Amino acid sequence: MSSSTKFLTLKTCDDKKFVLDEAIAVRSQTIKNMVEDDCVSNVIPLPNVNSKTMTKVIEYWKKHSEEGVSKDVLMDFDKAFVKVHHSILHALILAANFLNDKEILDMMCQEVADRIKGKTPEEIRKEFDIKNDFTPEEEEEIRKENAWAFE
Amino acid sequence: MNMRSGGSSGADRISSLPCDLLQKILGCLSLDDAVRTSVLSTKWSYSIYMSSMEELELGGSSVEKYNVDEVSSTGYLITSCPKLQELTIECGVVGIAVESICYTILTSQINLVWCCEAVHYFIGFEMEMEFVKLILASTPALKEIFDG
Repeated sequence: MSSSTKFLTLKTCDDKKFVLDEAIAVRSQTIKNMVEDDCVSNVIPLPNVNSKTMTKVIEYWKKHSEEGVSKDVLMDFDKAFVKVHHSILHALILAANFLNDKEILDMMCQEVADRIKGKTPEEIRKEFDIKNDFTPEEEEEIRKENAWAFE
Repeated sequence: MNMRSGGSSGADRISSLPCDLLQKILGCLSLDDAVRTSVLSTKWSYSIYMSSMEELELGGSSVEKYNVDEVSSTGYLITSCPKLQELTIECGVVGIAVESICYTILTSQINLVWCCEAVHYFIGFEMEMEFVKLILASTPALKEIFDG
């Protein structure tokens, strides 16, 4: 490891700049690849991520890069981290996918799944504001075909 | 009541996720939870999920709910997974379910050979001989069979 801290500047799609320790930023495999391939100029553009989402991601990265943080503290942090409106969950999933951060992506997908688990379709639609675009007949057909899952 | 804060919420964003990410989410669910999402909207139609699934596990907690009618979806599920490589059918708890699955697959003319073509690993539990024969006959790529 190099002794001097190197900083990277990340620029989100809404033109906000984030200056970040390279050692933290490379939690993103996408950024890591760029750094390793030496194609990092002064500023790394992140055209698919907005500043609000990037702030959340960096909050996660920093917490998980801190030294001497106990497992329990991290678990509590993660629990609180995923308690967001589904629109933010969605943004974080896309950002984690683009940044290629498997840890955040897995955690967010798991959270969506946890909000689906054990709920009726009506409850899930309500949770995620999903508009049902099936005709009643089509919906009935699917329910009939898979009756075992709807009991 | 819907929780709506500010103007940014209220829209269905989750459904607009790319297919591979929706599949990832569905992959975190049990089979019956995943199947239930298929009626949410056309975007969630679970055929999208099943069509790329390489492993299928039937049984477990849902098996106790099986009866002859419900088992018809089992065959349907298997045929929805053309990329299937590993198939587990866990029916030991209810012996009759194995017979029903076998019966369903045989009588509904489901093309089990086609849909199990790539299956190389099969796990069954307390299988009836008829069912073992059926699986053997339908899985040309089978390398391992395991009776739990």
